[in-house]
Amino acid sequence: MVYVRQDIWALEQQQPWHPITMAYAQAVGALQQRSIANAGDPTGWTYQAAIHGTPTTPAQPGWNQCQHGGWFFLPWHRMYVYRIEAILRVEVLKNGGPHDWALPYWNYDSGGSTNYLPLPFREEALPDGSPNPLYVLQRASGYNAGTRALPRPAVTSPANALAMPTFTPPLFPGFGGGQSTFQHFWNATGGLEQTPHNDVHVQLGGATGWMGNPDFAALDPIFWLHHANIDRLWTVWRAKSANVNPTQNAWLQQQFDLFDTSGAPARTQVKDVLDTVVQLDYRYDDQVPLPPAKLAERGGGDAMAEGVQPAPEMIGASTEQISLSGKPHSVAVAIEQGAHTESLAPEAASPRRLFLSVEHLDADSTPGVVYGVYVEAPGHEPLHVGNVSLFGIHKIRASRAPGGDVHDQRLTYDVTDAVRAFGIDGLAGSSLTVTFAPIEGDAPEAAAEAVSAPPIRIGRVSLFTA
Amino acid sequence: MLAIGGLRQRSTIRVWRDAAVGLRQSPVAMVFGLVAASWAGLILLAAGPADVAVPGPFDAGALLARTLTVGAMMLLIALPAAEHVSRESLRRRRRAAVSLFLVAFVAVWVGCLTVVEVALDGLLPSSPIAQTAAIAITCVAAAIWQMSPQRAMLSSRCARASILPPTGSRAAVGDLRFGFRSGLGCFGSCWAVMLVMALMPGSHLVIAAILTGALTADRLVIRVRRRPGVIAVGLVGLGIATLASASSPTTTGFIAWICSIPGR
Repeated sequence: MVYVRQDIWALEQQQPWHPITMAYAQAVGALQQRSIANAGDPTGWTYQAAIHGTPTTPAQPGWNQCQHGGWFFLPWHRMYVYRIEAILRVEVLKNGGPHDWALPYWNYDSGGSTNYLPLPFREEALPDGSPNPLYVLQRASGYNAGTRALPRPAVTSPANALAMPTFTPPLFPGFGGGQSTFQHFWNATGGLEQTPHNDVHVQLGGATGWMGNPDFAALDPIFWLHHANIDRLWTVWRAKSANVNPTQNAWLQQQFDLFDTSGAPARTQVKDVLDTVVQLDYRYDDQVPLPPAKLAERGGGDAMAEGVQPAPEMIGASTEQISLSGKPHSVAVAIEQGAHTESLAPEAASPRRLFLSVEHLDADSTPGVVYGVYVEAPGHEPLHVGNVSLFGIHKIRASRAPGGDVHDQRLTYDVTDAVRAFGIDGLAGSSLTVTFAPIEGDAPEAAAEAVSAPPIRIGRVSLFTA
Repeated sequence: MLAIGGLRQRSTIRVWRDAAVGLRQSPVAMVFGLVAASWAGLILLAAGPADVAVPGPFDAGALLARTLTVGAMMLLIALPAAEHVSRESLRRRRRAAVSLFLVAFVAVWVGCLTVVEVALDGLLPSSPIAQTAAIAITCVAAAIWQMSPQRAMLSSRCARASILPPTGSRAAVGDLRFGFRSGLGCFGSCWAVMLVMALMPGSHLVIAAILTGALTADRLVIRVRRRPGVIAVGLVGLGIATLASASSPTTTGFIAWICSIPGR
């Protein structure tokens, strides 16, 4: 049987407290009770959440395993959501819930009021008056009250990520993240992981809420619907015929250990979770059939896809370190006089692309603020090229490099199209202005929270061609 | 079709040309050249007259030997950081940036090794048996350090990038600062292994080569979780071999041969 994951807002529009939502709430409640009875039960709610992350010591088997900032982000979270969905389904069936129950997803980018937290997660009590297991207090202000929505499209839109043609390009992170080893948190965050994934976490959790901290995020029942949506967006990206997953064995054969419905260890390789329908018996309500697997074939003179990669070349960088404290902040990036910017033109013999790198990102603790990144050339309107948010900054600071890799925490954005829109002529010797501005949406409390949040420090902003 | 083929051919040529330019710009050639020159210098020193007086720790000859030892043993470890500096610098000042980084990196090591040698001059026992025991104990201590979380933390710090301003005197200061921090982190991580070498009697080109291989593999080649264990086992093995050399004529001969190859 192929289970169908449906959009929570569509379900709730059919019927408030749709049976699938109600079954989820009851199953979550059962898992929470299981953890209260036996904290060491791997199928309990808190144990499952600790698999993602926990500050509790000593760590139990399987804890603190989530993969962020690299190319295992998507497959690891697919396995994770799949495993808890199976555990929850056992409870749903035990409670007499829908026999075809599947975890819903939350598509916050589908218009209307879908960027508000779904109603069943905001209500303190179930329709029968008992406590609602889906309700948690530890969220940023305004979301439970229904007065605050995820800023759309700046935070909710996956458009930038879905437009990325490569899962893991050789030089920069791409759609799915850069190459990494088994890393709890690393610095090669992919397009989808950053926006909407990281941004939604940070917005919903704020500086102190659960969703903003990977050590607590999976305790909030909305976490699983958020990740089901991220998983859905991977299927959307993959459904485009030209988009292919990595084919390297280092990715395909990486294995991760989770737990099955009985609480027994279950080991799965990445290659076993690439087709949700055939391998995992589920699909999304908007999922189109997967095209035949293809090897990466780009052509079109795209130097990124050639066998020998040109070395990335820095053509300009900011000279001052900056600190973001809830207000817009601009920095000039002077472009070297002799930089070969003509190779950025699409008609160049071997066109290069231009990347903006925001480097040496740091903060003392999680700033519950998402900053938009805007690039501007003299005489042109600023263009939004991506976001900065530091989900799990305390984990990132503790990360260690595999081998002797030199690293810092950085986010990279492909700004080729923006710069082409400004015009390539005269780029060398000029400068671009990069502005970081908090994305506050319409919520009145957001601006105050942004100002009081721990500042984000940025060591350098640079431009690379590759 | 012909036109498309021509375009593709031009594109391929461009890509290879870019790659060739990239290699010239890369610090790999510079670092390997310096490593080769350092080894050549060490061998030349070793081939020099053996009956000259042992130099003091601050003599020019001793400083030169120490600089060559650092160049031979430690520069390969600094290669990822040097590549980082090159990649993060504007094309026109890449060579200068990498040079400044390497100067600071080597200076930190030479300074630290000088301190170690001064300390050892006062502490080393004079009897051969006590020296053998000191080497064996240091090998075991180095193996324990190799497995310690403190060493892992310092090793991680060694690989942590620092901000590199793009132009002007601030850029030069940034390159020097990164070299200093990187060198200090690497010394903190590798000091125990280097101490083993410093304790070896006489000169030790072969042991230097073995330790260089181990340290380089540790940082750059072996990317498995057990890699500190591999080095630690090797160090314990070296300690046992040193102890055995005190009792077995064959091992004594081997160790004596290794140690008799002059090197500093």
